[in-house]
Amino acid sequence: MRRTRFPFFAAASFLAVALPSVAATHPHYGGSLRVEMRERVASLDPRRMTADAPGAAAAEPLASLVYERLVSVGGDARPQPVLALAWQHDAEFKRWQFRLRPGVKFHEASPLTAMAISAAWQDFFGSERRIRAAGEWLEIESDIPMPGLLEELSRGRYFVFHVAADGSLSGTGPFRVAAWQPGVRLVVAANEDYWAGRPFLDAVEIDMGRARREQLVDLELGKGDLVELAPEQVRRATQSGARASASAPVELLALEFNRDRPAARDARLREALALSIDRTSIVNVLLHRQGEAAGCLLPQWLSGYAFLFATSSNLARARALRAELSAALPLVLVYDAADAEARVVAERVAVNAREVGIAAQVSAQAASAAGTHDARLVRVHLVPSEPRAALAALAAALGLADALPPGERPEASGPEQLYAAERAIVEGFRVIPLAYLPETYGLGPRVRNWTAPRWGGWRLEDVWLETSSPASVGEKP
Amino acid sequence: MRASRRASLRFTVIFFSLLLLVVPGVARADVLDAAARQLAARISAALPPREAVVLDLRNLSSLAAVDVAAVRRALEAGLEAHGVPLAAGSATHVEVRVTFSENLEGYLWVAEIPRGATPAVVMVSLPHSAVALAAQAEPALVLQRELVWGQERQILDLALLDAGAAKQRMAVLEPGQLSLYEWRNSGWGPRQMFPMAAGRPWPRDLRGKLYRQRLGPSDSLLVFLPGIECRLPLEGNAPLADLACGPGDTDSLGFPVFRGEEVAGGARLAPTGNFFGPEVRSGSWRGSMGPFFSVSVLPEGSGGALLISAGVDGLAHIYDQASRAVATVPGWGSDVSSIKTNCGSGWQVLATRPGDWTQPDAIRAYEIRDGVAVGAAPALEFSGPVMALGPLGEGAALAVARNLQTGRYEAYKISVFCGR
Repeated sequence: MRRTRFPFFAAASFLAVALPSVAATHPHYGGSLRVEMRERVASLDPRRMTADAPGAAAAEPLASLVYERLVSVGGDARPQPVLALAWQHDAEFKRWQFRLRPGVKFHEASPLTAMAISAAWQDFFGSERRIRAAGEWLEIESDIPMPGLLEELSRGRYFVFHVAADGSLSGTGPFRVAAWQPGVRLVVAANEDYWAGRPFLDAVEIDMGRARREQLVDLELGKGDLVELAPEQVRRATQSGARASASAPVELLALEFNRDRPAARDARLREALALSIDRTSIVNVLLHRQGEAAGCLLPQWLSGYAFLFATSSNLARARALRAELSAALPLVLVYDAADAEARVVAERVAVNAREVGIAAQVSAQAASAAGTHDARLVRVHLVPSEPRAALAALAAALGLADALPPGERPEASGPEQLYAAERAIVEGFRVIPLAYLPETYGLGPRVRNWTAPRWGGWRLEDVWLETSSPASVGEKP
Repeated sequence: MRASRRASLRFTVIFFSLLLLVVPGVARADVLDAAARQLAARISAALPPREAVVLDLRNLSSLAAVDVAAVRRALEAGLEAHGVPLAAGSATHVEVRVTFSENLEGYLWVAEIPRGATPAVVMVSLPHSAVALAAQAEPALVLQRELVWGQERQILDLALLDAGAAKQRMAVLEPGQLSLYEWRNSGWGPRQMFPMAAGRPWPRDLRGKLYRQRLGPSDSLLVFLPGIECRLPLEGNAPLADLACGPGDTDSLGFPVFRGEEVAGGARLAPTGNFFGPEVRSGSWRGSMGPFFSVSVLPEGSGGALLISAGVDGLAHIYDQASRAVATVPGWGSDVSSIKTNCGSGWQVLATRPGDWTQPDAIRAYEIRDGVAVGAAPALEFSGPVMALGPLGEGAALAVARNLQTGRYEAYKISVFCGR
């Protein structure tokens, strides 16, 4: 009876069977996300995460699965509460107090307390800073003003952890370590008691040391769900049905001059080289349009004024500057031997240099080697922060902090002052910006709720996997 | 020094925010106009006296063309007000390039004024937070929405506690908190907050529901959360007593199932999950169906009611009162809600569309005719995922969407009009 009243039922049912499972807005629980990465991370111990430690940048997303911070920086560069619900400071920024989120537990079930953080971080602070628990509050005090403390605590080694009696570490993050082979493989399992709600994934399996080519093949074969993509791989990945997801352009590719070398001391030579470079070709051809030409340090999306800096070459002016110089030894340009994109960009820079009469030799160099080079092709990742602090951090990373005009530190200025400070840096030609690159990932077809963080990295606690077995999904909270 | 920069930024934010939010009648256009005049003042200060100007404008920002045109007019008016003549093409003049740019913090308007070898550069910044959303176009469609409330914290549900035009009280259910607001002159102000603690962390995709229950003289607001049910007595406009919470009545099957605005039954939420089932109760009927994210009831003429569920399998299922699946509908999202109107058959189903939390969403209205869902209205688009959908009262539905541009949660009143 009922079927005769609904003559379209049979057809509708057939359609439902024939169609693939349709993603629903509400997430499904369960499954294991397979991630591959090129870097080999040797340690997840926050105590070993100094900024200059090898692989420090690669360790950040892995550690963030297990450990959390007091605060983070959101896409809008504003501090966001994580384990600290609230904070306050005195008028001089010398004393900060943090109120901790109640009810948070470390993976080994001990409660998060100010005392626990104070104990864990004692070695992080030198003699000029003091950390202590004051009831429910965590206090950090210094004789020197700390106006940037929130930004400092939102990166680097300032993960909150607890050391058990046996020396093992535990965090409060959305996942806990299930298996760990340093430099090879990390498996994390969902933290069932995570304060912000259990992640949708049951587990994340991360294989390290995978070449980009291998990662792409695994993505295409369905063996990987989340892989890193080089610029030249993006088109192939999308043509094979995968999704490519990119952050904002957050990595500056630049030439950094070695001030200890006589060849790089003449500003006219540096300016001539800067004017010779065809950035448009570098971005459009060598980087497959996966980035932006850079004429300054901060990208347009962050500063809003990058368009005021020229990115086009000026060969006539470059040749005129070169003509003012006596014959010089060839400039030695080096790049990271493990960085394939850097090699082709360095070679193109050398070709451009020769076009205006500047001899240049290109050679590979281990990232850690201190060689006898005149200039090095470097990658510098933006620090997640508002434009002024980001410029200050970039300048510091490039050894240019002293290039900022006295009294005009960027963190003290509005947009016009910031622009003037950046122009002063760029026109010193101690660094030649070339391009900005995003972090790009390839996503398999079953990955849902992936959001590319603006500043790069991962955010896996909201990710879920589309499965072909909805009945089993429904059973698994 | 850092503090002074912050103070400057704070001043800018406060200035434009106050202009937008506090001064009655000030709209988005007024904020843009004020910024344009501020830029005009900066340009005029950088120009030699009585220098004629030609403006060369370009837009690198998300400003709409109509806004750019309006800002240009305001800029020109501002320059003339400062005694700067606007030159005709043939006159001797200075060409000032104005770029409408944008950065992380807001709009950045940059003017380049020729001056020797290096142009002078002046800038005016306009925080995003100070710029109101574009005026919502009047849809020529059947579905209409009206923003009721927006906030940074997640909104699980929202209830307007006073019927009719007299807005007086509003309840907002958030993870771990019920917030009551009251209408004060021209906006909602906080009245009381009721924290609600759970024995364990809330599920990540937390579900929660509010229901105004009137039983004779008793008037209460019921709150449904995983494993918890709370009751807040509502006694006129008097100060509210404490929220009484308990583990809930197992037999009641927890969360209410609605037919329009009326509770028609109940459904059990998975203990730590974000879905319901398999048991469902509707009226005197009690049965099982596949796990689902949401369910709603439609009257089916004289033959009993229809249950429509948005299953975890990504399909909507239509069941009759005998628990028989009578139809399956692909292409819907995870939230459905029936609504009684004066249009068409008198009852429609509102449904979201498939997607995830990273995608814009939409709500469509359907009529169920002989087991087939027939689109009854064009989609009503949202700038982010619709996270909750249910009755609001007075013939309207409530949709909670997360704005992907701002990250804020926005609660909308969804009305169905027989527009065509």
